Amino acid sequence: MIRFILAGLRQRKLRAGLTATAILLGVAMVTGTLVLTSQITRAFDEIFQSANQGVDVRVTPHIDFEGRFGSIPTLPESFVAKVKGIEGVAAAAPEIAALGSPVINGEYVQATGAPSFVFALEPPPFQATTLASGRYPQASGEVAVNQGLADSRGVGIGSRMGIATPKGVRPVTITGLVTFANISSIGGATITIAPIADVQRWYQMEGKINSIAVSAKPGVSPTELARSLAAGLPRTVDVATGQQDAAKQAKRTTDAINNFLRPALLAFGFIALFVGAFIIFNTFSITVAQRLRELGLLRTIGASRRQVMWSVVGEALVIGLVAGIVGLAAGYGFAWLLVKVFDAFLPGGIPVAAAQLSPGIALIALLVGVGVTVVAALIPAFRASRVPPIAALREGAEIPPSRISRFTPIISGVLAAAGVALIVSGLTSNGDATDRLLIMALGSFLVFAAIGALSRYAVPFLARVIGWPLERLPGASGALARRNATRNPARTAATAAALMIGIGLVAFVAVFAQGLKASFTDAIDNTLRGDLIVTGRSFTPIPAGTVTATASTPGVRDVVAAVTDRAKVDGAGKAIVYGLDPAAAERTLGLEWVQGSPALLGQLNSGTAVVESQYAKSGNLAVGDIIYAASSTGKRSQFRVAGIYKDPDIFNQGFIVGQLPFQRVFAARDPIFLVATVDPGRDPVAVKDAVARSLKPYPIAQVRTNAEYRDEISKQVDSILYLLYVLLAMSVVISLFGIVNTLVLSITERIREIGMLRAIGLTRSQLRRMVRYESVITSGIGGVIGIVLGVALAWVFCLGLADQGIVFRVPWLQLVVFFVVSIAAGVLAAVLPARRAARLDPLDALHYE
Amino acid sequence: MSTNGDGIAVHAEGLGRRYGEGEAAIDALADVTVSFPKGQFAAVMGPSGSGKSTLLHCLAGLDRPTSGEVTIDGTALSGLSDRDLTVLRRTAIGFIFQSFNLLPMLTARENVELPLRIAGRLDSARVDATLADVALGDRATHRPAELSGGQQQRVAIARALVSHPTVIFADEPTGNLDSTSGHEILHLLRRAVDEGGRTVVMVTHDPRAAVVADRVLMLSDGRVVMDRPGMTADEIYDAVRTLDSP
Repeated sequence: MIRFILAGLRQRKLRAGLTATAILLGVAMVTGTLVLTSQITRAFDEIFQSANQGVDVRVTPHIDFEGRFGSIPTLPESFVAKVKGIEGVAAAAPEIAALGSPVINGEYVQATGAPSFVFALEPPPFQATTLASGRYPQASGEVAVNQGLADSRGVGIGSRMGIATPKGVRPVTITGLVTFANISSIGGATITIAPIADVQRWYQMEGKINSIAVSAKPGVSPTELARSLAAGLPRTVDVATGQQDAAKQAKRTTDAINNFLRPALLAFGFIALFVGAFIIFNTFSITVAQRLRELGLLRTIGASRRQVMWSVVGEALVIGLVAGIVGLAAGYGFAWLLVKVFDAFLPGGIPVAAAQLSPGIALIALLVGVGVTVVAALIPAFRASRVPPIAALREGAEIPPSRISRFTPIISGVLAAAGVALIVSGLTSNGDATDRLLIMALGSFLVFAAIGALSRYAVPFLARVIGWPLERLPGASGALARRNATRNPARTAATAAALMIGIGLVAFVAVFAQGLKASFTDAIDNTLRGDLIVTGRSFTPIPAGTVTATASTPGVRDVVAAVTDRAKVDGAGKAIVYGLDPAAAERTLGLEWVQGSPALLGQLNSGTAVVESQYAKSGNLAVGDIIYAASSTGKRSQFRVAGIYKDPDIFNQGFIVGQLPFQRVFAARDPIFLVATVDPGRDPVAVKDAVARSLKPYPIAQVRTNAEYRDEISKQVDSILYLLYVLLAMSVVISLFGIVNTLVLSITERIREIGMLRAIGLTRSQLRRMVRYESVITSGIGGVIGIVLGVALAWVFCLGLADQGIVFRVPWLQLVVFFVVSIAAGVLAAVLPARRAARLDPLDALHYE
Repeated sequence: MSTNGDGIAVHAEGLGRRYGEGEAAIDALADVTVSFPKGQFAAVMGPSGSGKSTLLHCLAGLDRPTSGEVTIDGTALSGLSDRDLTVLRRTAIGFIFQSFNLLPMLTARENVELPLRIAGRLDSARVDATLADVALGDRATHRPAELSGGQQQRVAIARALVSHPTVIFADEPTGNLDSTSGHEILHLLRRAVDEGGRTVVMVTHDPRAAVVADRVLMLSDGRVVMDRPGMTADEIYDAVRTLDSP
C-alpha cells in the first residue's frame, strides 16, 4: 500500500507540491513565531542577566504593585551606608536608571520605539557594560555611550552631545564607548552612563536613588547575603539576588511577548493553517472524484474499504510530513523575515538572540503539518472508501451520497449560529480578556467554516453576477468560464472559501481599525477639545517643566496636564488615577457626563473624584461613595465620588482627581500629555510654533495642533493595520495555491472538452482567457463573500464593543480595493493553469477516447 | 470566405506523417495525394492503423504532416500560425466526433452557438435555422445529459453546420450509435451535401455508413489503395474483406 501511495504521489507531482505548499506556509508561520519569540525572550534574558553580572543581591524600594509609566519609586541615598554595615556585604553601590535620549547636533536620537537609558556610573564589579574604548566618565559633564550609538550617529570619544532630561538638554562630552556584554543586538536602545551626581541633578533626585547593588564577601552565597540583608533592613525595601532580580525584570518584558506577541502571531499562523486545510480538503475531494476508476479497481482486486481509505490518508500523511519538514526550515526564514518586518514598522527594532533549533519546535512543526493535512483529508478519504468496485468498469460512476450529506446545510447553519453565539458571548461576558478573545476566535472560526460550506448555494448566483461583464466580452471565453465555475458549485465554493478567509479577515480588521480610529479622533475632538496637544516622542511621560513652558507662551490660554499613576482601590481593584489642574480642566475638557456637570471638575482639589462609567460599573461605585485608594508605594487616601462621566478612550479605566490631592499620594509628576487652548482670535498654528520654541529645552516633547495629532493617531492605527495586512497576506497567498490547484485539476478533467474547443476554433489566447475568467469568477466569489462576512463580523464586534467607544464605520474605498485585490489574485492564480491548458495539443485531447 | 481553389474544398499533396524517429519510426501516412471537390460526400475507410484518422487530423489542421501540403479552400495550411490555423478551423471547417464531445454544462442551443460565439458573431436566426435543420428545435434548452445519443450527435452536426464551413470532417460519427440513430445522422450529412452544398469527409469502418457517400477511399498502411465513386454495399464489403485478409 505504501508503494502504491508513493507511486501515486510521484505521478501527481505538481498537485502534491501545490498541496504541500498550502500547508507548509502555515507550518512556517507557526514555527517561525515560536522561533522568533524564543529568540526575543532569550535576548531579554541575556540582557538582564548580563546587566546583573556583578550584582549578587539588589535592594529596591518595596512596591505593592507596578506604578504607571516611569513612576519609579526611590530610596534615600543614606540606605547605602545601612547596607554596607550589614554582615557579609563586600561592596554596595547606589543605582539610578532613568530615561533620557541623546541629542546629537541638535537632533533628538530615536524618536520612537526602543528606550534610551541613562544610568548612573557604578564602580566595579557592578558595571553591566564593558568598556570598548576610552574611559568611564569621571568629572561632571562626562559620559560614556554605547558603541552602537556612536557607530550609527558618527560620534566618538571627545564628541559633544546633549542629554534630554526633565531639566532640559544638558551638554556633555563623550569619554568612553561601551558594549552591553555579549548581546548580539540590543535593538535600537541607547545607553548613556554619567556620574551619579549629574544624573541625580538632571532628574531632580538629589539624595535619592532607585536601588542598591550589593556584592558578597568571599564564601557568602548570594542567597545567604539576601537573607541577612532582608533581616537587617526595614520592610520598606525588597531584597532579591542578582539572578532573581534579572529574571523578574526580564519577565516584565517577556510576559508582554509571551502573552501578546506570541499568541497574536500564532493566531495568524493558525489562520494560514485553516486556509491550508480548506485547500487540502478540496484537493483531496477532487482527486478522489477523479480517481474513481482507480479506486474501484483497487476494490475489484480485493482491497478492503479500510485499505482504500488508508491509501488516501497515507497520501495526506506523506504530504503533511513533507510540509512539516520543509515548513520547519521555512519557519526559520519566516522568523528572519518577521525581524525585518518589525524593523521596518518599529524603528529601532527589537533585541534578538541567535536562532536555535529546538527539538520541541521541530516536533510541533511535524505534528502541525501532519495533523492538519490528515484531518483535512479525512472526509475525502472516507468518501473514497465508499467507491464501489463497479466504478472500475463504468465510466461516469459516482460515489453514493453519504447519509449525512443531506443534512450538511442544516449542520452548517447550526454551526454558523453557534459561532455567532460564541462571538456575542465573548463580547458581552466579563471574563478574562484572553479567554474572551479565544471564545470569539473560536466563534469566528466556526462562522468561517460554516459559511465556507454554505457558500456553494450562493455560487451560481454570484458567478452570474461576477461573470456578467465577462460574458459580455466578445468571444465565448466568458460564457464558458462562468459555466465551468458553476459546474461543480461545491468545488468552486471550497476553492473560493480559502480566499474568503483571508479577504474576510482583512476586511474585518479594516472596518475595525476604521472604528478604532473614529473613536480616538472623536475623543480628541470632543473630550480634549484643545487647540494644541503636547506629547512625548516615545511612549514615556514628558518632563514636568513642559507645563510651565507651554503655559507661559504668549497666546496660550489654558494648559491641562494629564499626570497619571496606578492606584489600588478597596473593593474595586486597580485603577488609573488622573491628577488634573481643576480650573484649567473645567474650562477645557468636554467630558460626556452620565451624572454631574463640568463644574465638578473645578472643585476637584477639595478631595472629590469623578469616575469613568465603565470603572464605576465594574467597581460598583455611585455618586456619594468614598473611594479608598492606595498608591504603589503604599500611601493611602480617600476621595468622594462627585460625578460619573463616560470616556472609553482617554481618561479611561479609573477616575480623575485634583492635582493637589494627587501629588500628596502618588509619585508620578511627569504628565503623559498636555492639552492647551489658545486665546480667542489667535491662530493655533502660530501659537504652536511659539510653543515649539518654548519647548526647545525638552526635545522629548512635541507639540501638535489638534488636527495634526488626529492625523498622527490615524497613522499609528494605520501602521498597525498594515502590519496586520502583511500577516494576513500570507493567507491570501496560500489561497492562491488552492485556486491554482483546483484549476489544474479541473483542466486535467476537461482535457477532451478543451481539445474539442480548440478543434472547433477556440484560439490559445481565448482558451487562456477562459481559464483566467474562471479563476477570476472563483476568486471574485471568495472576495465578495469574504468582504461581506468580514464587514458583518466587524459589525458584531463593534456593536459588542460600543461601550469601549468603538463605532462601526465602513471604509468603502478600502473594501473596493480588497475586491480588486481578489480579482487580481484570480488573474495571478490563473497564469500557470492557463499556460498548461494552452499547451495541450488538441489532438492529444481528442485521442483520449 | 474565399471562393478560389477551382471548386476544390480540400487538397492534399504528397502528404506524409511519420511518428517516432530512426528505427522505430512509423509512417502513418505515406505520400498521400487526394482532392475533395466541393459538394462531395467522401468516406475514408480502412482497417485499424491504416492511417485514416491521421489523414483526417492532418487534413483538418489538427496534426502537422511531416511532409506534403494540405490546402483548404485555396489556403495552404503549412504556412499558418497556430492562431491563423485556429481561425481557419473556426470558419472553414466543421467537426463531428465519435463521442459527440458536447459541453455538458451548456444546453443544446448553447452548444450549437459555441462556434459563432467563439468567433464573436452570434447570429440567433442562423442558430434557430440550424437547430430546425437537425430537427431539434424543441430540444434546444436540454442539456446533453438529457438527450439520447442520436440527439446528441444531431446537436454536434448542428454545431458543425452553423458556421457554414467549407468542409465537415466526421470521425466515426455513427460509431457510438444504434443503427436507427446512425441512419438519421448519415441522412443529415447527406442532406448537408445535397441541399447545403457542403463537403463532407467522413472516416468510418462501417460499410453501411460508407455506402451513403459519393466516393469511398480505402487506406492501408498509410497509402490510398482504392478510390472509387458510388460503390454499393456489396462492393464495399468485398473491398474491406480483401484488405483485411491480404
